Amino acid sequence: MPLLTVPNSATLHHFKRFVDQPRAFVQDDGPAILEFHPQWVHMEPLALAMIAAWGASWRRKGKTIDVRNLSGQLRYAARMRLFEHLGVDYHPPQVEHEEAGRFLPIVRVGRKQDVAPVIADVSALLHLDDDPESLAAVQYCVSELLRNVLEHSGSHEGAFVCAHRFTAAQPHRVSIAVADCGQGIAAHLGRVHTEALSSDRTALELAMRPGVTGAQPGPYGTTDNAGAGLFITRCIAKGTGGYFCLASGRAAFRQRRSRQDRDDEIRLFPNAYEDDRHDEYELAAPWEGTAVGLEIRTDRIADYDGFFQWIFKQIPSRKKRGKIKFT
Amino acid sequence: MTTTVVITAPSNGFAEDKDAARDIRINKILPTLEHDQKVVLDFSHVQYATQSFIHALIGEPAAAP
Repeated sequence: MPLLTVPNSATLHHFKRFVDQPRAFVQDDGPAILEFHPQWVHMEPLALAMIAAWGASWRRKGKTIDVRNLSGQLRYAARMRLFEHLGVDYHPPQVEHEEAGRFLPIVRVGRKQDVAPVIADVSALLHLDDDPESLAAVQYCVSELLRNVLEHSGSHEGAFVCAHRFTAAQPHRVSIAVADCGQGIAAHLGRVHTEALSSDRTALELAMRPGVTGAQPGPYGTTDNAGAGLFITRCIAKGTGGYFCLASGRAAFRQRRSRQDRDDEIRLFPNAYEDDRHDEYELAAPWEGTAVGLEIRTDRIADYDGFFQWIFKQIPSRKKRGKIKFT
Repeated sequence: MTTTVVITAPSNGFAEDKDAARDIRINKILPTLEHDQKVVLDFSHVQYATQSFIHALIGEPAAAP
């Protein structure tokens, strides 16, 4: 039976531990099993969005989701509404001193008209009203990633999105995730870029390049698709020194955080795989769909002119030290 | 003759709806240009926009020979 295992640290820092799921899409009788670590679990939005997408995909195919090790340690997942999306009845006791939420709970976005309400919620739910630069960056990424799914994935369930603003510990950041169980990047790009069918790694490389779109080939994409959304989203993460993770099929990619006070590491590569500060993984079994998780370091967005000029000109190195002005 | 096209955005000023941008392109910008008229795009109601929005809005006329 299908099995998705959640390790004790399902974070971008331990991306490989979670993303490599050998049995998640096994075709078999019986329910789909979601197994949490028996003692404790620390999850970030990417894991939550992927679980929600996975669960919805199996539920559409008629399976129920059976959860193992459902304990009081999963309050965070419950607050992020994971179990509502899985059809699992779970109501852990609330802790009175718990911090007011700075998160965007998991939302399923199945239609284009569902995107704007999510964008509108970002400001209030992440408490970013007083940080317009970070707000703009987060809204930008959420919009681009959601529209990618709706326009290109062919996912029956659409996209699952969630986000969390971390302010208690360094680095201060917003972690964003969008996941689907659609056709995956290789199948989409492969319709017009046949090399994408050679391997999932090649497909990921193409998808992260500027100007590559699965809609139609051409130097400027099509009239409606420039093929720059994922590239710019990756650049926003890179520009602030945050993680950027992408998984589809058997390939997974992670752009690492830049180390503290090492602005020389914030260098932009049109080909993400040419960046020394990356990790790549061949998964034991394919992730049937696409998942993107990234961080925007909110402590590094402000008072820096020309962030977008930097992206569009593809300047190889952003040498000037300082914060980034997004708008 | 010049035609001014006002670009609208939700109350948060974030223009990201590509379908709306495409409608403006097809129904306002391209017909005006086809009549050899100038188009002024008024972004005064937009605080910021995605690249995808801008591409859907003017990518086609900008790339035209």
